[in-house]
Amino acid sequence: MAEHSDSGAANPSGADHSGAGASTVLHDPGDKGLRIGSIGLLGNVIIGLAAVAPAYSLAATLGFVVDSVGEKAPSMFVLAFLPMLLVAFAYRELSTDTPDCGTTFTWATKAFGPWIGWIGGWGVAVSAIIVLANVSEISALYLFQFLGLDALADSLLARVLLGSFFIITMTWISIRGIVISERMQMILMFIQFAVLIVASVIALVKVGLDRAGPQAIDPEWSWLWPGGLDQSQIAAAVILCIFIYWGWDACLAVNEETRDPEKTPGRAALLTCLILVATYVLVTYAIQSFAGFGDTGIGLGNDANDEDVLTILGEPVAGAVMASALLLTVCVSALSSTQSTILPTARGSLSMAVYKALPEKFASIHPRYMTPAFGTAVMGGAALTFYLVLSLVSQDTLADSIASLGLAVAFYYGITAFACVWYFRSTLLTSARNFFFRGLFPLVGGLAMTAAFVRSAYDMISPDYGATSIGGIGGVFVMGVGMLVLGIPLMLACFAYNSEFFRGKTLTADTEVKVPDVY
Amino acid sequence: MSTDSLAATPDDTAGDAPVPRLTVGYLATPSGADGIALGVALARVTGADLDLVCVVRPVPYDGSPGIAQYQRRLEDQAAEWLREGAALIPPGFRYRTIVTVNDSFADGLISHAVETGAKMIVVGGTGDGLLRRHTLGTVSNELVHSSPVPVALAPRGYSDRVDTVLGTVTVAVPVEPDADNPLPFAEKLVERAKLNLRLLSLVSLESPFDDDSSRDARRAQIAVARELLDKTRAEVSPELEVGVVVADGDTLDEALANLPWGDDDIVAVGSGHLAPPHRVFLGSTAARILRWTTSPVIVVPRSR
Repeated sequence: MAEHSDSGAANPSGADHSGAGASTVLHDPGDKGLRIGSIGLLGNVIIGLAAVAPAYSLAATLGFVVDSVGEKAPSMFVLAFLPMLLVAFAYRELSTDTPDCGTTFTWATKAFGPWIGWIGGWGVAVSAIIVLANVSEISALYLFQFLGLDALADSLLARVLLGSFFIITMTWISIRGIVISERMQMILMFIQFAVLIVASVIALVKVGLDRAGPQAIDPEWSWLWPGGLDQSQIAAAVILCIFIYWGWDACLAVNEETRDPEKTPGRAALLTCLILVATYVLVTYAIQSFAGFGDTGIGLGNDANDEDVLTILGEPVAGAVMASALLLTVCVSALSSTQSTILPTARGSLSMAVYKALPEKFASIHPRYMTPAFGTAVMGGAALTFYLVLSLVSQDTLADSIASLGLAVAFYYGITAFACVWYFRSTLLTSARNFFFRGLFPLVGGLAMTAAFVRSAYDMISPDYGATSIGGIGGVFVMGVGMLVLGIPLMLACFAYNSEFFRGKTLTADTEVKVPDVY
Repeated sequence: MSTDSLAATPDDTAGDAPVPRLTVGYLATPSGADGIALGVALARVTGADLDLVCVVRPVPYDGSPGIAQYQRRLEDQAAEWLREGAALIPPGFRYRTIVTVNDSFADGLISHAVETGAKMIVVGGTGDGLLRRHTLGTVSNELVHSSPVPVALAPRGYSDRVDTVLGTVTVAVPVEPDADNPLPFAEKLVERAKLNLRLLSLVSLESPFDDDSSRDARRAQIAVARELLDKTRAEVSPELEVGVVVADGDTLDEALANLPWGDDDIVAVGSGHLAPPHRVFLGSTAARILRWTTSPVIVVPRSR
């Protein structure tokens, strides 16, 4: 590994030998599990799946997807993967060229200039804040149900208290620098998939053997074909499914320890994609067949079930043990997924501060914990505030937060995809590979994201969309677009604080991304 | 020799025994400054060179871009902290600043100490204890239960005493025959550093009865202590003072609280019987000494 030494502080006393300080960086690999040696295909796949948190993602969105498109939900899971894949190509190209923690912020600034770059970075932060609120609410809800405390699960106060506790705890854990080990992640991943797949298979078998009860219906191949849906429905479902695949691109990343860096990301991508799409489609089939679409009981037409659709796979399918396993799995999946949100976003805000887009305090590293503690704490505080406001204002916290989250992610994914095309514009015609992976694919992905964003935002203005309305406008619109728009005054405040970044002094298209100076 | 080494040039030591090194663990916190002050105090009397070591945790790889760059930034920050820490060292001391990467701060210090053949690992305690007292944080706790090298602990606020010239080594000698004895280490230290030696004997402190048999036991133990004193006087070089203090009181805590601790004192304790061979392990008696003393404490690994 690189050794770097700088001429240390020579001691001023003048004696011959005194105080020669030379700083050397010695790398001691120690015992670091996956980091030693190499990260292979399995490691990359686990990383990608851990970032997606499948059990939690399904629990959070499935009900609402079915609500939008009815029985065609499986088709949406397949369809929505495509724009995610295309944007992932953009990520891959950009991060290979400019490996910077600032991700969208850095790349968009280099492509489009500081103002758009800042808003792109803000989009990342907004999605992290919203998802923390959603995670806390779901974890609180499912934990109460797992413990059998259904009365508390229904009580707003109890959920908010426990949810706030989760946010504070997750933030504190991140500040302390405590992380889940790779082995633990592998175990959690295995359990998540095991529970989901076993429950789904049992449900389908029961349906096949006619033991599922009168509400069950036969699974149809047509569910995989998105026919008969209008634009609004598709856009709404895509916005939701963005969340369900969010984070997937982590499996594409390559570092110096990746075994076989040419082939591994591609194979990891393929594997992860297959595993996710297959699992999601399987679970959806199982639930739809087992529960049917009636509007009573566990039927999916019953609005009361929107949030808890996944738990249909529990008790009715395989009894109390499976129900408990499912609830606990989702809860743990949700909480552990915060690691892949909080840490990268804190590093992203550090990167923004390094380029002076944010006050320097965001770049400070805690002397004991060695983490960007200030940035992490601010993010936690913002998430807590958002969660409290959301809980008080919204009729249906989970629904509203998921939909607005999808908007925020579509927003910054779109910016990233377009940044890729524009930034590499001079290289697009130099090779077929460049044309497709830097040009065409990201462009289509960006357009798809933009279309979904615009269509859904437009639909969200209507007060009938979603459960909440604020002053005659749909609550999701206020929350989603509102949070993004909130970035503008913040951006202007940062401009007033220090305009160097905004005048293009710290980061331009040609800036070599280097290790910046420490403050 | 030791006290002359400050004026010696590097060439003088060529051909002599190699210059001893001390591994000083450092974080940019008040207790880090305490560790440096203790390192300086020890280097002042032993002529050792200092290695200021800051251990950085490796950032776990999670597929986000820019992790390698971020890791480099952490290491640069650690190097910056070390420069600030080095500024606390008074002129006249040789030192290096080193950033190393390890999941565990304590393991990082231990590896470095073993690699460089350091004579001691020096750290401050954690920051939220009472001033002038010892509290063990995570790192120092781990160190005093696993290090193969003696561990020197600085009490809180020792950074105010960076000009201390150590004068006396107080050695807690065990009275049980099978307990580990830090005396050989202490003798080597006082020889090298030309310090006085004070034998601390913890005598018969738990017996609440003041009857004949316990008085006899005490007399016997005081006799043992005197014998030890004479033996030690014979072993160390004659210009060093050797005294004995018999800690007395109704309880161990009271006895320790009553002991006089000077500003230029440093305490050496041995490892408990749970220590694996050649490792440090803070036994219960040593832990109590730690609670009552305002002097720095060196925990010595088990010798067998």
